[in-house]
Amino acid sequence: MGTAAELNQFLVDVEKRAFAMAMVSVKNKDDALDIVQDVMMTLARKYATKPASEWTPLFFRILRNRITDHHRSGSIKRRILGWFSDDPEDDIEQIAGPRIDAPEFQQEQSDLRDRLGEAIGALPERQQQAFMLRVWEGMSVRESASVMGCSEGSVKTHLSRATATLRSLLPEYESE
Amino acid sequence: MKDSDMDSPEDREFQRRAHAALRDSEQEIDLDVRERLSAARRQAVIVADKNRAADTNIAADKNRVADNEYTSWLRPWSIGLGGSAAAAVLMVAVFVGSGEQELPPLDLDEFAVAQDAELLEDLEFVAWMLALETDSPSGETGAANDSLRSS
Repeated sequence: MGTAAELNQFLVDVEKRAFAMAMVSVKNKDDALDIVQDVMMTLARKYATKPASEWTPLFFRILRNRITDHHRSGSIKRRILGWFSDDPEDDIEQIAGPRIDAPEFQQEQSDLRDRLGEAIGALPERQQQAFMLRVWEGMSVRESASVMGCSEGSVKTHLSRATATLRSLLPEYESE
Repeated sequence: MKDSDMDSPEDREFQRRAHAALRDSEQEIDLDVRERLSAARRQAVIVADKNRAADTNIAADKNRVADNEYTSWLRPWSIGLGGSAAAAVLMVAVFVGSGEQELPPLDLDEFAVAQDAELLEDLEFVAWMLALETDSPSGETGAANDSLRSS
């Protein structure tokens, strides 16, 4: 069973990454914070008594679920609002909140990182998850498959496609 | 990322650079967000602690109850108390059980009806005997005896 100090340290280690991942995916600071806060509370309520070694996959599985839920609820909202609006694009902009390339956000991050984040955020959901878990978090294929609820082969396929897309969009990251 | 056997060396190099950039980006999160994350973390740790304490208390209570149940039957005085209680329960059961087997007392009207019924039965018997005597010219009760024998 993990102790309170271990749980605190674990959350210190992952909280900023989790926020950054959520931010890339949902493109809204408040939504990303809500998601990470919810993930922390869920882990604390339900899984704090589990061994500390199990927290990482549990945490990222909860995070993945919350982000997916967010996208689903957002798409339902957009669909409903689209029925009552002449210009659905305006509504989508309002719901999505400040974009990752908003001026205040640009001040905090380099253009290159912005573009990387945007490109990851534009990937299909499963490719995005595979890239975040494997490349960003550094999980093994097995751990990623466990978090994503799919086979290891699927993880490799999603990651390969994601990498190919990102490489084509971000030649700056190619080796010189 | 050692087991990504579908990726080319160029892919892996791209992933390595992307990993470094993404990890760096975590350090650029603004102060307001960091504070809110810290607050959320502290809240989560408090909740986890409360849950742990509650779980520990529940487990301790269960153990205490189980210990008491187990040891109470092993103590000599408790055997005496338990025996006395069992005897008391047995006595009550016998008393109540025997009470149930006794017939309820009759009141006077019901007693009179019962007496009438016995009298009627006697009268019917007498009438039957008289009928037999009148049927038989010798006044013998052979038919009655036969009927009794056949039954």
